Amino acid sequence: MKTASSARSQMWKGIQPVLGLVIIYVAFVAVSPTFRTFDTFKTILTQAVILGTLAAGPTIVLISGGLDLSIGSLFVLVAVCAGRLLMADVPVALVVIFSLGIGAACGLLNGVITVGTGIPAFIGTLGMMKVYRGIAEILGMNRDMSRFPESFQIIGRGYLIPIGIMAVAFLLVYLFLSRTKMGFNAYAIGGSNEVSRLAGVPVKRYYLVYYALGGFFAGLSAIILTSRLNFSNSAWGAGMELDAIAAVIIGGTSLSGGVGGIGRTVIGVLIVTALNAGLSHLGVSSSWQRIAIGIVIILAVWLDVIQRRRELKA
Amino acid sequence: MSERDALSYLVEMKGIVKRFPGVVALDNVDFSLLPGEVHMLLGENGAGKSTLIKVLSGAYSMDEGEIFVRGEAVSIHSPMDPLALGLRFIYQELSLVPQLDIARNMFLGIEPRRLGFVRIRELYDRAARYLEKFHMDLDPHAVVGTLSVTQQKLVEIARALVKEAQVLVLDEPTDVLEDRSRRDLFAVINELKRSHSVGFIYISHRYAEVHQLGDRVTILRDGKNVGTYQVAEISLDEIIEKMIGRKIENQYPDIGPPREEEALRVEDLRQGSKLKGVSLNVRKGEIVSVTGLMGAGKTELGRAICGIDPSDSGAVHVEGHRVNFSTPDGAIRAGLAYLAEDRKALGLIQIHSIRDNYGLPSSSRLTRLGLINHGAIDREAAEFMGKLNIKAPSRHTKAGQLSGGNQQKTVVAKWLGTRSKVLVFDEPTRGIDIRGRAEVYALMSELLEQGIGILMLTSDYNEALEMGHRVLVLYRGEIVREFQRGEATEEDILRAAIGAGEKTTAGEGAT
Repeated sequence: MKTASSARSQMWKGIQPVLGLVIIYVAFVAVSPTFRTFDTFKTILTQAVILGTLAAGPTIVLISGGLDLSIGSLFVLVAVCAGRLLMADVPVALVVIFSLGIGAACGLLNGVITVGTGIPAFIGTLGMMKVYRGIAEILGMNRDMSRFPESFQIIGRGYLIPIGIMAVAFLLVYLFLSRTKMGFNAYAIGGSNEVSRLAGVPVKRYYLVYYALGGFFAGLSAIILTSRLNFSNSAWGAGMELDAIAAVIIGGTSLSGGVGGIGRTVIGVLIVTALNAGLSHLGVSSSWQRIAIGIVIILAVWLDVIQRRRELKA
Repeated sequence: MSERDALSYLVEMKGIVKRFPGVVALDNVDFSLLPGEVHMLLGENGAGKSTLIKVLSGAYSMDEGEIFVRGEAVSIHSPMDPLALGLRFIYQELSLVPQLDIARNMFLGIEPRRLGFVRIRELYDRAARYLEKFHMDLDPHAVVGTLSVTQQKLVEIARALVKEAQVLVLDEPTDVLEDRSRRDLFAVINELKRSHSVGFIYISHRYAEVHQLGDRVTILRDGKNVGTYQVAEISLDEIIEKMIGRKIENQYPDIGPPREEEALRVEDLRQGSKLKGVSLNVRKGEIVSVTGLMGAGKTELGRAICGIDPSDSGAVHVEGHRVNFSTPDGAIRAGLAYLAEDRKALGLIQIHSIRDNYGLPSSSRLTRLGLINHGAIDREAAEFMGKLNIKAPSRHTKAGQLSGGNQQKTVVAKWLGTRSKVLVFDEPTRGIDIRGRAEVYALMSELLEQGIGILMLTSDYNEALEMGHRVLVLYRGEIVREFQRGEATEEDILRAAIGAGEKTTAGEGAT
């Protein structure tokens, strides 16, 4: 659910990212006919799984007006923990539950550190980004974490299961944001902390939940990747938090809070993934892909700024 | 004014026309300003006051008309043009840098320099000289953020005058000021127009100020100038009549007697040095006005009762039940609602729709088995929009796009949605134009009929007297006087508010 109005300009604003996605896809199909195959389509979706499940977290956190820079480090911490536990022959089900638990607990801790103390989210989670990565390195450096049990490998293998997990994650976030009080109030809290508090919303307590959910989805994303690659490495995850936040922003969720939705994040993630896949398909180097993504981020937000200015004048 | 030579005008605007798609915002408007006069510019919201000022400031370009400054035709196309002509604009929102001190703000951008370095001592010396010259009792070293709103307004005026302004445009400068501070500001304005021949264009919602301050008055309605008068020649009633285009009998509605049952009882509420044992009660269907000077504790009282700020001690009862008012949530559940003065920052989420704002405090009530009932929010929001006559294209209209009166009605709707029994209104009509005010008052009187109790915190003594069944006067965190309806005049209230009432208190010597 988008918070706001059914006014035509609002609808147009919601459609723009979709239009951008369609244009990017059609452009690649036109340039490279082989891009159109169902296989490429499946590949894009599968590639979107890691970024998509990770981006579910910042969608909630950004709507509520928060920010968590540590989810990339949290991602690798969970991957390393899962790897060590699996190497120690802990049952797979327990490993999964425990890993998700670590993600959620670390997210909760981020909430306590920022909201609980009043430290700005940027600083608090920047600090925790360093802390989690350090711990991950201590736990995972120079260790063989690979060749996991078959039952663990199923999670990220092929197309159906990972895409299915991502779809369920998106659906749950959608229901959370649109149908539960806590999700509905996330928009209000992002719109104005003080108005929400005066309306009886337990702002601080809710923030803890939003941050915990952010950590949970970082953990989920890490498990899928660890399973898919069948190994774990403490060097993963650098810059992933920014990739996820970028996808959320490209989709049209506001960095200043109060506006956004998981549907937009789906589009944003697909734009980023399709762009990467298409450029790779054409043999463009990863450095140029990065440049392209950077430009898309700026264009997307610029478009938003222009429209907001026009709205103000109208 | 006909005898005056056109050359003597500081500013003359002739036949100004400004069209927007579908509307003529200014329709052949004439306006002039003499040196050393205060020219009041009045009109309802949308009458064209701000459009006229924006044409003069270069924010809008006019479609037809001429502008003369000191007799010479000028073309104003950008905000820089009027500055070069000695025109300065002071808007409602403060435009000072709060972290810098007064002197630095006054000389921001025009600091005295030598070889590229700012000459600090000269800056402070000159600031001090200017402040003295303008009869402003301010320390150039004082950090602006620590000043009162009045003092900040004065600094803005000083800053404009440092840049040799001859024309000052003040847009609702006193809207946030209380009576005494307004008098300070008026004194400075009077001094400047006498000794420095500065001309003032003064926009205000407070019609009473016309006769306190103005020399001439121009009234705009629907983009037309419906008359320019010497203030001595026109009464307040005539001005209002011109403004709204019809006779207004009385903006205050009839208010019935209160019921017997008690709605709210507050006992010995204490909060640091802000509230020193306040006790009061409000019956169902009763309005109790609480008034006093700025800083007397009105807002603190409202916020404490509604659990927004913690209190040291005291008790709050709603319909006889003790309220847990340690959190806003507890107070809301008990049926209390605080309607903040600052509707922009504390009342409504500006970027969200009417329905989302409506649903916010009611979201607990409208949640079943963990799921929000969006249909119910839509239904109730639409129902209240009809009942309270909220004028907006739809319930999806953003709160930030509503007029002041409609915003206030939306805030009321929001709190009626929580089944409130007592509404605490903090400055219910501040920043709302005369038509909007009458509607807010009418709405309050309807609420009374439903048995709701209203505690009205206001610094507008007239409003306190006309709307309240009783008027309580706060002075330094204590209630020092209680007047029954019809028992007091504004002067009686003022006397009590400045601590000159017969009931003197022990804390008073401690200043």
